[in-house]
Amino acid sequence: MKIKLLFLLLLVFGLQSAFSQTIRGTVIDSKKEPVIGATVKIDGSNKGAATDALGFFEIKGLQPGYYKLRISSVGFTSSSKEVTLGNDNIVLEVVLKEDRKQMDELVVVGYGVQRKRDLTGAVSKIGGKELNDLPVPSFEAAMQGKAAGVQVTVGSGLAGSASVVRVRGISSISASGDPLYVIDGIPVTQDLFMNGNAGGMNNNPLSSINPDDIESIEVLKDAAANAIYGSRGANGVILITTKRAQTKGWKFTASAKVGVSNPTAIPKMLNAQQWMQLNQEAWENDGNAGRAPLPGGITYEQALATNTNWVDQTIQTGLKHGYTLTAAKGGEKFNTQMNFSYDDNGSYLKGNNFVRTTARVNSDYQLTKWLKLGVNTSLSSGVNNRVNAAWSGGLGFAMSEALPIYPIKNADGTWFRGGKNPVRDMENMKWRTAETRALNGVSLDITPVKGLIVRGQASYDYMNLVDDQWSSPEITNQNDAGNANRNMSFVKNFNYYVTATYMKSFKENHHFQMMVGNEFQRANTIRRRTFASNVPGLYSSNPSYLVSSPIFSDNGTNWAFLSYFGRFNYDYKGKYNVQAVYRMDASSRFGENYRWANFPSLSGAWIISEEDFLKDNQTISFLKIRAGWGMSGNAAIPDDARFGTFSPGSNNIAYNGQPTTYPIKLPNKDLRWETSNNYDIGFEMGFFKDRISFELDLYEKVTKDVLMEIALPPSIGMSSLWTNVGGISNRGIEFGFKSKNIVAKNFQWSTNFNVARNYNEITSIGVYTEDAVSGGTNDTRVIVGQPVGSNYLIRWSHVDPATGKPVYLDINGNETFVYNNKNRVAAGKILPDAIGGLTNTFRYKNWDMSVLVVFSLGSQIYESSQKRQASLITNWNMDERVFDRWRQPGDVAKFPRLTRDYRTYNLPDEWSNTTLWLKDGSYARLRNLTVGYSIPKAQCERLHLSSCRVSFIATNLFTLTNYDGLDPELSRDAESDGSGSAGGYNTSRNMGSQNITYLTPPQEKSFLFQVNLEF
Amino acid sequence: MNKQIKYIFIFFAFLSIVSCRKWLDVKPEGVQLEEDAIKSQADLQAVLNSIYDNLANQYNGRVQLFNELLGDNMEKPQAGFTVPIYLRTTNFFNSDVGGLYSELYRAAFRTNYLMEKINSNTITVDAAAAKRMIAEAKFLRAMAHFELVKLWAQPAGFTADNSHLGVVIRTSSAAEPMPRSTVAQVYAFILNDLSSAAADLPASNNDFASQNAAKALMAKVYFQMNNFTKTKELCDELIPQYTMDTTLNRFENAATSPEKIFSFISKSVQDNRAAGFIGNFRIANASSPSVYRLSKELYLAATADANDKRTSFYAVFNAGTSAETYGITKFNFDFLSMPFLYLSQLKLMRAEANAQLGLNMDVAVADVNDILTRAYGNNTMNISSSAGKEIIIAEARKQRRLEFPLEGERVQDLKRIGALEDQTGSGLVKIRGSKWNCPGLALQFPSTEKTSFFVFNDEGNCD
Repeated sequence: MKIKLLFLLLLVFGLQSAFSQTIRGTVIDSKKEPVIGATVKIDGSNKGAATDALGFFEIKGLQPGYYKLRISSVGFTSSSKEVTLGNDNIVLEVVLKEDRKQMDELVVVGYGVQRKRDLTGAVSKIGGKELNDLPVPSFEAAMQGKAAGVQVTVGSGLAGSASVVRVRGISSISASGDPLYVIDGIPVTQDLFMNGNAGGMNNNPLSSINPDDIESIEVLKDAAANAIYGSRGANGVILITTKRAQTKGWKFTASAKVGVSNPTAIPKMLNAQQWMQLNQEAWENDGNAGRAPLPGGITYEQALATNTNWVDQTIQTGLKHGYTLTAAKGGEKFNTQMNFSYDDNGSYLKGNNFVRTTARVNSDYQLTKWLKLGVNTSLSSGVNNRVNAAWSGGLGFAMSEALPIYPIKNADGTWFRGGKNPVRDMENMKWRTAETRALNGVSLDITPVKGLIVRGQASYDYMNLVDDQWSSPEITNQNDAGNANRNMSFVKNFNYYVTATYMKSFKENHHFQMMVGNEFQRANTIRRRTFASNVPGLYSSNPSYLVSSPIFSDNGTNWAFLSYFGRFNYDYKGKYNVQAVYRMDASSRFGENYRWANFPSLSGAWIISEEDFLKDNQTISFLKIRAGWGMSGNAAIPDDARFGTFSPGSNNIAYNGQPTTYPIKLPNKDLRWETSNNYDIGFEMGFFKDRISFELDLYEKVTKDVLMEIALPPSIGMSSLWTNVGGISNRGIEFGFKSKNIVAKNFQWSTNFNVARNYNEITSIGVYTEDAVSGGTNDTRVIVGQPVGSNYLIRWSHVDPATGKPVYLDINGNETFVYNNKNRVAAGKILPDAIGGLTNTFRYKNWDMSVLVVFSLGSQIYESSQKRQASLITNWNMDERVFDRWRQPGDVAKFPRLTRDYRTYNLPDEWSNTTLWLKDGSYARLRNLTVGYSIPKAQCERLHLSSCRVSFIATNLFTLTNYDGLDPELSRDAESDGSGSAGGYNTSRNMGSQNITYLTPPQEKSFLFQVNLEF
Repeated sequence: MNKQIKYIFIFFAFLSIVSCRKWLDVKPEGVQLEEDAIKSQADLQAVLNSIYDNLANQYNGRVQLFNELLGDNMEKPQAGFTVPIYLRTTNFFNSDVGGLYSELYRAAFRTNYLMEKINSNTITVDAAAAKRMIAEAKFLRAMAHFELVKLWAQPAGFTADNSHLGVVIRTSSAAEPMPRSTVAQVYAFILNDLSSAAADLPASNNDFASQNAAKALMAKVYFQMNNFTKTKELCDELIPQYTMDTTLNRFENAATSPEKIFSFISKSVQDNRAAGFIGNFRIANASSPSVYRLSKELYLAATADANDKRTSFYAVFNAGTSAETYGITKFNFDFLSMPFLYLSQLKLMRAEANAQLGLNMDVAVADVNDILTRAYGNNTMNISSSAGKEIIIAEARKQRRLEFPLEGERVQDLKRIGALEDQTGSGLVKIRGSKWNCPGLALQFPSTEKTSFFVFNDEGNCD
């Protein structure tokens, strides 16, 4: 098949024949980059040519004489060149000057680039500069508010924590709902659950990527754009392009920053006196007399003499500092860029910081006219000095089980052990997670014949995650130096792709481009662990102990994808664009009965502003309508999901002395990808030479075969099964607006605004019902007709003024004192109705200021941990909100009578899953404020600098919200469903990482001072 | 140019080479796939062994406890998910109830998997072994379904034609959600399995299921259905083949007793198939009651006659105080085998069956008296050889309670009697104060069983 294709291509080349003299040459831009698709026309004749992917053109069959060439290309100012042709051919180099219209910028689209104006799909581009200045735990957080329809819920206050990124809602339940991240053509390792859920955080593999390396991020949102990524594109594709040298000669830049961080909100927990008073009140409410018992072996007198503020003990003012150095050299044949960065990102949690050290070299070498070699290599180290948080300890305990009546140390100087003591834990446990990552790619671009580029890239993404923990004898209760353990994961992710792109124009007006390609990716994860006693500290500090520690192997996983794909583009007169995409994927994750997945896409665009009736319109500078349909998929499921497994060979279980073997997991030969049918219609408008531009998209994404790890009806005899069972619909509208409001010599003001509304609905879960897939303790469930992550709760009515007892609503909405899980209803949702961002940028002389406001409207927050922080006295401390409680008959209060017995509220246990904990999650926050000053050039030059700038950056300065908890922007850790597989974690992440809090540390508020220098 | 064309060929040749599908042939590491685990007849036998293992772990006292909690032999548990069982208010979130339900179906799944694997002929199995293994699987599948229908459905006789809902019948390992079958269908399925098993099982099968085990279980099923003719027929065939044990506590020698038809065998403390009994009822010392305690009613009934040697099994704690509570000493062992089918059961079933049918009354009297003679060590308390139907039935039922305490028989006896003697649920037959057919006497299904076509039990509504 491929050989035939080759011959066809060669046949086409063969038809090119030569006449007389030839004018050939290259059209380049001011950065020496080739201008693709430029028209070169000879005045007064019908002869001409269009430039190819290298900017090359050739006009044959010319007689000697004088010619005037007119060179034009969209996005460039037209140019003319006069030549006299003798008996020899002429070779020209034409430099076109950019006509800076934003519609003409180049956009990375997956296995290629296109001009924004030619796009037929929905792609958002975020420039690297928009990302670099933000002090964020990980680069993906900096995308927040920058692209319509891209929802970013920034991670918690833990250093290096992961954000939840959703592109046009979510169409997955048990498969990952995260977009596919592709860095310089490499679909990178993005497994958030390599380290499970430890310390209230999932490891974030993206945190070791240096934001300063990023040139641009493109988000492929609809299938016209992401069908080219086939079975992995349905939740959006995030293409990250790293920086390459752009200017001729050497250029050096350096930057340094220093700053501090604090929590956006500080929990207001009860002090010892308040807690004892409430404990006593509950004791008496329950019909008891005398002093209420105290936990932890504390006497009444000791409690009175103690008042530990555990929150103060676990937080601090975090310190941040970072440095980058860049050297770039551009040249005719060789260009290279080298980046080095060091970033110490201290959080406000005591003992917690993330230190990222990265080095990157990107080089290109034009070996011959037709062969170019490219190399990308980066090495990064992310060391996270971890602390426990949320349910696991630290600030989480300060908000829960560490009571203010507990001392840190006993009178004799020993640690208090009668209850939770986060200070004791912090001082006696060490935890370090170190990730080493090498991301390497080698590419070859071959131009064997005019118009054809063959590109091959091979890459290797290696990741080594080492999680070290150590507990002192105080914790282990052993008479030795302490216990150390280490968990290691090694991920070897190899991929290559080969593409052949052919461009051809006929009669100047017909421009074709065809790309075919093949890709293969295979990854292998190896897991090892070791532990030993009598080790004086972390293994990383005591490597000699590793020699004698036994190494144990845990189950590893492998996966592979084999793909063929093609893209065809046709452009008529720069007005009408049509694109067809086809991708076939086979994966080791698919069941035997479904090996190949097919993903077609068809889209088109009409640039109306190129029509005669609008061409010279002074108001409308650009008008485009695009529409597309396509299919894309999701196959982000555990590598072993389709396999049935049996008890281990040596299970040591015998019956009547005879060996046993038994199935422990069901196979599914029909397991396959999720399929999303996408429809998108978009309008792009530019006014007044694109000074004002709008972009409006309407879309629908209908997903079938939704992957679910179903909790099977127990009568089947096995507990769970990975299966394609459901349907999800996402419909929405996105609106983007960019305006240069004021463009004066000394003052410029521009505005960038985007807003998106998404309607998400589960349309089917087959024969199963809401409890078949569970968001676990997040109390969210899958409910047909409701969005993914619906809060499934018993409705709280009010506190009965007469008795102070809770009044619930039954399934019919009638008031009842009975608490029965049968009365659960879909009461809220974690997904917002609308999200967006507003950026205003001001420049006055040498001063500049950028203000980013982000907002999220219409979601609910489920404050899961408040179940034990309000009115029910357990072994938890409470916060000051409990003051609004019932105390005597007639009281109208928010919280019921205090009690020490959950049965007072008719609960089956201490956890009441009601709408009392469901809050309004809408917020708008001043995400970023940057004020910069560029030192005048003359002063810089005195310091031998070509430019220098100082800036002040603040994040999360203030937030508008009705939420009465800590921080309304919530992204909690994803829990396991107990199976330990990524499916369980993903289900929890999709159905409860956003807008559910369980003692989740709030985000940080930070202030930074930064200096940027250029040599 | 030729050189360049060569490059193109090289690249496209590369494209073709990588089409090799073997590159996708990757498997998980560190786990056993079917191709690794099930390769031989011995492996299939190991699957069969695992079903015995699974059911042994349910019949280790767990199945029996749930039955007893619904009945009148137990005191209300102290705490936990067994309290609603006692209160007959189980709901779909009761993890203890859901756990047992799941495990019984897990056993059924394995029986189906095993039979499908043997019938697929993908593994060489000698014909005799295949026949035996399938028969054993059917015996075990019937055992699981019998327990399920007794606990999660109203009893046979609740409706005249048993058209009321039973449980899901599982005849395949396919992961297909299914609706409940009627009780009539479930019993027909169980009896069909047992008939087939009885036909194909060997007469002797070491400590595994034998032909007689299938027949004895079938007798119990018929007895539960109040089908006395079939009960009698089977008991008549089996009883002559066994002799009465002299040991009062049948748990002590369940593995070796001359009464044994089928027991779950324990080999050691680590391999204890009565762990539930021992954990729930073992009395560590005279002053500390067991985890679960007996009802006063059972205690009084069982200790009413000091001459009955079985009274020695009973213990009282905190006597004379408001905290007085009762225990049993039968399980004060480190490990025990679990008697499942044995002669005493057959004798008391046949006694009632004969009496109900009005046939062989002398045999019925003799069967009851065999039990009484052993209990008292002599024949002083034997019933008269001329005793009539009512006396025989009453004594047989009384002895069933005293002979099989905490073996899970009592509540099912009361349900069976209710269906037989109080079909309208008038209140003539009550179980611990509640009508025998009140909804809460059937356990609730776990929430994950819920599908668009699965009907749940009504909850509660027992006095």
